[in-house]
Amino acid sequence: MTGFVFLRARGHRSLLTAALLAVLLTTAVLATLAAFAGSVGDAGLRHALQTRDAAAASLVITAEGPGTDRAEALRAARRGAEQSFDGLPVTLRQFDHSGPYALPRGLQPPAAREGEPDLTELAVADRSRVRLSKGDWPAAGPGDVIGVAVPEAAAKQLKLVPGPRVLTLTDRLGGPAVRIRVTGTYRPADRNDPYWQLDELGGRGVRKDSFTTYGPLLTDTAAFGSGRITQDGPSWLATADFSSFGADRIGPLRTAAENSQAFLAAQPGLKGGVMARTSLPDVLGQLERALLVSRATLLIVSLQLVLLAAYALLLVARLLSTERAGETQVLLARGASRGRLAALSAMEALLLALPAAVCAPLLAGPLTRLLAGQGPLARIGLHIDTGPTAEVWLVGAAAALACAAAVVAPALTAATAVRGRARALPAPLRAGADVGLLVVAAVAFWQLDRRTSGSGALSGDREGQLGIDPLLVVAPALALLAGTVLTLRLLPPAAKLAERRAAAGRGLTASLVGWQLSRRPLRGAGPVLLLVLAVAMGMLAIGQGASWDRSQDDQADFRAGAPVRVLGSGTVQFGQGGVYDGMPGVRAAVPAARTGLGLSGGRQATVLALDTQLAGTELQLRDDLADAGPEGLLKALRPQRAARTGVPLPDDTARLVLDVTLRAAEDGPYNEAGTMITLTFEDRYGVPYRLQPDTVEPDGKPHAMTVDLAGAADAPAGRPAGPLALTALEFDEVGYPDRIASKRLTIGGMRSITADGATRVVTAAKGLAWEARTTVSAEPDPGKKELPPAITAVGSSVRTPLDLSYHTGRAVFDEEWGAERTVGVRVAARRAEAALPAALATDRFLESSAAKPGSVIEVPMPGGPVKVKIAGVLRGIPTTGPGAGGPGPAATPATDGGALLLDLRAVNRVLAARPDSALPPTEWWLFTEPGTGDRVATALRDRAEIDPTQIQVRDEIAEDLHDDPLGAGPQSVLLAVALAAAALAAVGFAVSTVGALRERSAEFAVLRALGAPRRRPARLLAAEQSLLIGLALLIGLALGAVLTRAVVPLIVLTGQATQPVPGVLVELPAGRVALLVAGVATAPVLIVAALALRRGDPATALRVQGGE
Amino acid sequence: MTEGISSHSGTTVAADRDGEPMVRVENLHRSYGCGAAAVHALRGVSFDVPRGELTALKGRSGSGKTTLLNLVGGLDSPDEGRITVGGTDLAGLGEDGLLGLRRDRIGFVFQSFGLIPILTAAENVGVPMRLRRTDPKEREERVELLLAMVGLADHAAQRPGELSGGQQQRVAIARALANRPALLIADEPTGQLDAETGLAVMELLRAVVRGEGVTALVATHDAQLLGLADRVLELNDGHIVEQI
Ligand SMILES: Nc1ncnc2c1ncn2[C@@H]1O[C@H](COP(=O)(O)OP(=O)(O)OP(=O)(O)O)[C@@H](O)[C@H]1O
Ligand SMILES: [Mg+2]
Repeated sequence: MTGFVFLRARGHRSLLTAALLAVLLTTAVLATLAAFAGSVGDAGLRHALQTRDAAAASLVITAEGPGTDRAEALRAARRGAEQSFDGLPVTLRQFDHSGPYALPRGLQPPAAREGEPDLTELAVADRSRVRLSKGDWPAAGPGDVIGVAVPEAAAKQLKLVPGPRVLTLTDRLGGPAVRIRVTGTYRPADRNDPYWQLDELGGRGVRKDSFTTYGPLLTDTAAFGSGRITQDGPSWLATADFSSFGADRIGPLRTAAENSQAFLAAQPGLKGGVMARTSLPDVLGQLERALLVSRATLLIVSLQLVLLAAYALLLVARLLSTERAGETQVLLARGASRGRLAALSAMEALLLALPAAVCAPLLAGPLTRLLAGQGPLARIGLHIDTGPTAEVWLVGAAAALACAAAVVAPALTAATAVRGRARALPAPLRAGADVGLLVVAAVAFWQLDRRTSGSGALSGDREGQLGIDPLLVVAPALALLAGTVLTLRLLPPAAKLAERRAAAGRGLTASLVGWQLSRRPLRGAGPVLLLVLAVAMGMLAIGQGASWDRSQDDQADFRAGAPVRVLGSGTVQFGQGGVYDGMPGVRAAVPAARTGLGLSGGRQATVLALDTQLAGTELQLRDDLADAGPEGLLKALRPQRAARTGVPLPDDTARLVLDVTLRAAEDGPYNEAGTMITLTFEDRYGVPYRLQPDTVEPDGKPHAMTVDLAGAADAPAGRPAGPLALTALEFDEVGYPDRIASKRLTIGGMRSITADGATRVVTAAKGLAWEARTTVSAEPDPGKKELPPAITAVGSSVRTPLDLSYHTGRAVFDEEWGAERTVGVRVAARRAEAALPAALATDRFLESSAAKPGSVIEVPMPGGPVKVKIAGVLRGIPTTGPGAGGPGPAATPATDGGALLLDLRAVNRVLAARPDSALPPTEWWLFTEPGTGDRVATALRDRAEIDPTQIQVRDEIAEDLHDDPLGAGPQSVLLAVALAAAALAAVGFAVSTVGALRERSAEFAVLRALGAPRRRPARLLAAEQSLLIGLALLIGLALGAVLTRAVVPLIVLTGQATQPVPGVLVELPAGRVALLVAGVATAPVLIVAALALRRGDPATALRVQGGE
Repeated sequence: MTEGISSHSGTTVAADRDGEPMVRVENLHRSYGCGAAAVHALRGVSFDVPRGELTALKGRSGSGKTTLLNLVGGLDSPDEGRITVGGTDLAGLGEDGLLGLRRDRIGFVFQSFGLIPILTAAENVGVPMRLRRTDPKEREERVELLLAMVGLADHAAQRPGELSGGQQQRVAIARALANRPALLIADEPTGQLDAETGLAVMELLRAVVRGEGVTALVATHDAQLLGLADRVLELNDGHIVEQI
């Protein structure tokens, strides 16, 4: 029987070769997808845990108090860590450190010696984590001087070099002093190593907050344990080896990690108390979600590919069964039983399936490697295991068998059917089925559309267990199917219309093409559908890839807000404004302040105030974030330009000297200490800062009052945002005024002194006007003839910037030395009344606060609420909201109350009218020259007063997002699948074209006998096919565009499987789509061209048998 | 091809040199394959087909009838020998010349009808005229006329699948006559028909030859039909053995 099977196969060589090819292709692609899905998930997981999330995945163990037995503690920590990592191999690195010591005062700059001392600590660090940069490592030695290695950064600032100099450290907690000698300097081998979590300074060597801390000073183990150093408990960094970790172990590992504290506390070796800290459970949760998204994407394309493959195979199968119908009839007529025929077919199926089942899993390995060697996966260096697993073999075998069965089954059913017309479904039934499919697809699509607002690809069941949303996987395939069916049904009526015109002409070719297409629509439909599917799938792949890329960039833009954003600095706020001036690469430094606003329902909104004038065109908001375009809305925020008020100072003023005279007649028992004057300076951003330079004696004599502006700004690290202007002066008088006495405060002159000591006279502008007000602690009682304090005159001249006359009123004090009276005097430069600031609100804010555009709401600010008017709506405000990952008050979607965007200057104008209120910037948005973001960030991170983690760099965020292995994985696959789709379509197209040629060879022979030129029939076929190809590409493009727009927003999710913020914009780059169309069309066009060149043999004409 | 056949009189007048037979075949040889497996289908066949006559070609299966008709129709070329149709030597015609000959001067009727299944009877009859790019109006008129002539005026819109075998063959004859050929070649036109229908078709051919002045060369092995022919040639083993 096998012999006969081969004999029979030889008769249909070309068709069976095509079938074999299609089966092999389909099986190989599916097996590769299975292999890839299996390995890329695990590889991505490992990659993430080993690189991006390495720090979060590590376990920090801190033993409290000096340990009893260090070796025993280490063993205990190791046991606990192993349990916490669910038995994965664990590496433990120890860090021993001392209690706090004070550095000698002599190392401080002279000016700082009065204040807090600088601190340090001694430590023993894992030597593999540090590199010696100068000198030697401290060695154990005799004597009481302990050798130490100093961090490079600290050595530079403290001007310490290796040498014989001995320094004495004082124990801050009262222990004995320690004498040290610097033997060398070191730096961390890798500052991003999770190991530096153990160091309070994070491996930076210097940290400035209320104290400046330098260190750690590394000593030798023996010296550290010698008893001369006050020890703190040891700490360890436990890192697991994830190289054999797989998705199947996520659950147990998460449970174990959640219990790490309990595991460690239960260790007898750590009974002194222990602290375990790890973010591994959160990281695993996120990775699990990301893994699901990646799998869902793979499933979506796999299903589509199956659809396409099934269609191609069906095409081959139909041709095969048509060709064999006669043969089968003969076999039946000669007495072959149906069982025998079935066995024959099964045998044939096996012959088709066997090579595919064997080759596909073997091919899967190299193909997977090929996939992983391309694009983002190669860039991030993801290593993928490619040995064929049992799963891959299984998928290969099942797919091969299914394919082969699909090819052979129609021939079998044809054998059992009665010869005659094809058993088509009755037309109404078929139409009903079509309508049904369309309805199902429409419903699925509608449902999909609704999900765009949910969590995308994932569905949560009642237990909160996440799973892949089956609808998402099925809907795209369903939509493709429905689209192609629609095409199929619309093709004949369209062709009929064309046919009418063509048939009315003189010639034959056009009319025959028209007749063919309209009267044999299903013949053309096969290749059309294949091409439509291939183009649509390709477009989905391109759209997904491009949109994903775009979304990562958009997310990075949104999270960062600016190329570089400094979230916090150790410098005093007054000194932050000028720090970024003239920094190389920085084009604009925009101040921003962030506050919160509590709303009902426990929701918390973020209020972001930004100098929108400065941000101007630099701030890139995506157009779709506002209905009318964000540019106009941002303009609405800007306050009107106004001249600066107060007395402007030269930009380089380091110190300001004012000649202040306070003349006062005795008005009762008076406080002797003098009057404390507070001056308010407004920087160029319109932010007021209050400085208290000095007290003034009411002696009527001029006093030179010096305001150390540079000092107040923390120079040299800090610098105010000059030029500054003196805008207000306040003082309180506390006393017992029992009679009216006139007083007079004058500022007779002002001098600006630069850092170099150059002096300039500061003059007040001619039109400078002051407004003065008084406040009093207790309302005067008119019944007792008490009088309120009052301003009698206030003015200024060029020579005398301020001349203020006032009295403190009159009060009656019932008991001697009873409650005193406080009179506040505030003199502020007159300014136009501040306009109502405009605000832009997010949709979420409006929904959470029940406000509407146009409504006026109160926003809490330092110094009392400020009324703002909602001028417009934005869909999102950069750096706010749960998706922004920023340090906003609202972190979870449930408590997020949206955000408000204000103009910092406008708010400060309102606040300026109030005593003691201002909204100083807390963040700096640095807009840099293109490509200099890195450099700026590096320069900032090297500054001691800025914590490196407080610097967000847009490009770094983008790179992180782009390098997400679980997000990038499906991308490589999508492209490969598009290629496979094109190949399958080409095979299908070739088969169906050859089939058509055979089917119509008799017809063509007749045409030739009737006098048609030899090549005419082939050209006819070529024309037909070209028309079909063109049509298919057009429909494919349309269907692909619709599908891409519907599906991509659902499958482009963040690594945490949430909707990206801002929402995904579907990108379909025209260039790549054109390439796809060209690629898909290449094989068919070549086939058609070959056809057109074919010559017929007219002699067969009279031998033609059978028409139809 | 200026020595045309087009005339609007309804009868085709061979504008060739009068007195010459419509077809002259001299010493025709044709073999297939080569070496030991070679089949010598025709071994020196010579005969004339006089104008305006119905000449029948009889012979057993495999005797070379189809081979001969293919050669006369210009679909195939002989190994040796000379064929003239209407005085024109086929060997002197290029591919385009043969094409024009088939299109304009010869009508073919096939044993298996050779109708295009997706076209209606009328459209099938119109195909040769489309090949000549005849004016659509003239084409439609002629199609109507021809269908009426073969008695199928009422079946113009039916497709071959909806016609009986005899009707299909009549459509094929109408199509063969579409371009007013001088020579009608039919290869066993009744082969797939029952005796009665076959006779009817043969009678139609007979009538066409009489009425339209067409010369016909018809291959058949049906003895009954031979009676309708003006002359009968018998082909046996690649030779003409009998000329009646
Ligand atoms: N293409 C070919 N290749 C090889 N041999 C051929 C070819 N065509 C015809 N023959 C052979 O030439 C001989 C004549 O065949 P032909 O078809 O002309 O016979 P026929 O008289 O038409 O027969 P029938 O009445 O059965 O149709 C036969 O022996 C046949 O096998
Ligand atoms: Mg024959």
